[in-house]
Amino acid sequence: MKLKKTGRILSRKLFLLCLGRGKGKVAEDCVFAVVDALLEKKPRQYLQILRELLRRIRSALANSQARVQSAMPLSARERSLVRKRLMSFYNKDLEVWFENSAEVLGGLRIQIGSEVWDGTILSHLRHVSSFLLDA
Amino acid sequence: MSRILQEIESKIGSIRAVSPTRVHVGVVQEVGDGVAQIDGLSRVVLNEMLEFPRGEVGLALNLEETSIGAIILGDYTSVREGDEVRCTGKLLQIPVGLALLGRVVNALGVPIDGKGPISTEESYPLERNAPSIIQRQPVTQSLQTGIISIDAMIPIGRGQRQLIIGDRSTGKTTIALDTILNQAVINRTGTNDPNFRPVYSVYVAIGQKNASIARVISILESRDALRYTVVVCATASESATVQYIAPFAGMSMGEWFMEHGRDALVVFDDLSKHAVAYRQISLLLKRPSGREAYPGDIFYLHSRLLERSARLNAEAGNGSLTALPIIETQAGDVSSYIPTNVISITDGQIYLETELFYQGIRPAVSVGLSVSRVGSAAQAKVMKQVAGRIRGDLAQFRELAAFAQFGSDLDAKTRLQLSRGQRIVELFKQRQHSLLSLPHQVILLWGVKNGFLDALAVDQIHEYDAKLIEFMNSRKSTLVEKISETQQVIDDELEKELKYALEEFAKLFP
Repeated sequence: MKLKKTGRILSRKLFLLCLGRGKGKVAEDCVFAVVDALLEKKPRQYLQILRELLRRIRSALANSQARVQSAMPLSARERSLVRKRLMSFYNKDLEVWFENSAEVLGGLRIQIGSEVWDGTILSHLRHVSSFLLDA
Repeated sequence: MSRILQEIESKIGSIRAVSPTRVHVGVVQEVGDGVAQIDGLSRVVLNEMLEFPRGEVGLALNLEETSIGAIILGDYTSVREGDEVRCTGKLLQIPVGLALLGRVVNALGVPIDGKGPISTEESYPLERNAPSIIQRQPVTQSLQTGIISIDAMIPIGRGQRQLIIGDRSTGKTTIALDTILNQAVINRTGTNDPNFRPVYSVYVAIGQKNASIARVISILESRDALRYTVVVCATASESATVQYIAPFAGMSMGEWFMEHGRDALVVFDDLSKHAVAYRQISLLLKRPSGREAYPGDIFYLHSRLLERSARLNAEAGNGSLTALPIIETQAGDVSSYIPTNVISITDGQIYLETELFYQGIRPAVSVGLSVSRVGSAAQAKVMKQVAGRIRGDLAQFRELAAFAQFGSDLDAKTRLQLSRGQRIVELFKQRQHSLLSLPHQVILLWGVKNGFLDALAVDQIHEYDAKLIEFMNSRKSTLVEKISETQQVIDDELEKELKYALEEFAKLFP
């Protein structure tokens, strides 16, 4: 069932409560308190509201997390360098996750929310292949 | 030597390492009927092209707080939930230019006629702003349809938007097709004149059967009109998303001609099906629906499309783009939602009546309900002179004909008006694709106006027309050429010549 306008407004208000007091980051204790209160009071369309809230929290968390993919595991020095560069570039606290993925062949792929910095060999090869196909 | 080394080193230093690309991505949450809901893509702009993993192209239409709604152009069945979608930073563009003439393309400008790729240098975005008021000039040049009833009573000018409206099977497509064929005839005859301005045509088929489109193409080909025409196809078997973009693609192709100082004609066959396709997309995008379940911006959809047709002034290149949108009514109801919208957007309409069609009056143009807001400003002076009163005479005839049914005792003047009206109606009957040039139309109308047809029986009119045209072409070709060349008012001398010619023909005609 589609979430109605009042439900959307409520989910937005609840999401703002989940952000707590500082820096627009999702506060864990606030989230639990909001979800508990919602489940206890069960307003109309509460399940849809909960889903919408989950979506917003997921999106907010994704914006404060950086996923770094590389073909080989990065050394501790490289990891700290990447972390430092990202935080200075975005000027905010980021939770940085490192993953190994052989698919990328080489280089780094960093995703923060919906933004992707792709410097992998795989993406360059794709670019070259599309360029050659167009030509 | 050290200088050379320094130079090489500086060149190596100037070579930039391959920088990583920055893209914005999203994830498909749900997909169905050519419409996808995508999470992410926080930096996407309206109408931006999206790239799906298996090469499909999407168009961002709904920008919401946490997700976006996009339409998928082409095969949407391969798009899956969880697929990564990328922003491209580009608006959807289609190829434009002279190379498209003579070709049949789909809504994305890709050729579907099997004649190989189209090499165009330019491409235009689908959605563009209409020419501003400063760039425009009034519509004063006529666009001959070759259909005597339309050219005499409801003239169309270059840069005008004239709606063709009527029920199913009343001859709407035929009128549009005849107009395209007539442009081809005029273009062929005018090739030797350096000042001649040809009219190029774009025929946009929206939601039609493949067989109907094939028939239109074969007619265009058989009459050598395809080389001046571009056919854009979005058939009924294609998705609503493709049908939605087709008229915008056709308009962009026509705009290229206009902006390069040429004249173009765009036929949208038809906008009712376009409205239905847009309604389908809007409902799938969960946009709020209004009257007849159409979205609230259906008027804006058609007005922003048709507003792009214009006649540009000399500074802007002097080009023109005429639009002939077609609307299909249900049971003759012109007061329903889409017909009233498009009637109010356009500069006039040609209304076709089912009743007239089945009475054998074809083209079944309703004189009362058809109108051209540009009017005689878009008529050649000679046509204005001979056809000025025809519309009034015909309206008077219809009124008298209804009145005369109640009694037979009529005065001589009324009888004359009735008989003249019957002959005009008969004269305006015209077979499909048998087009009349301007001088022939002028001669026939001058003949009616001056009573040359009054002595004939009504069933003789058709034969009289055909033979008179034959006679004028064979024996009075200089007179025909004179009317064709000057297109000015008929002076006393020309009137004498016309009178003499028609009297001479009257002696020959049985």
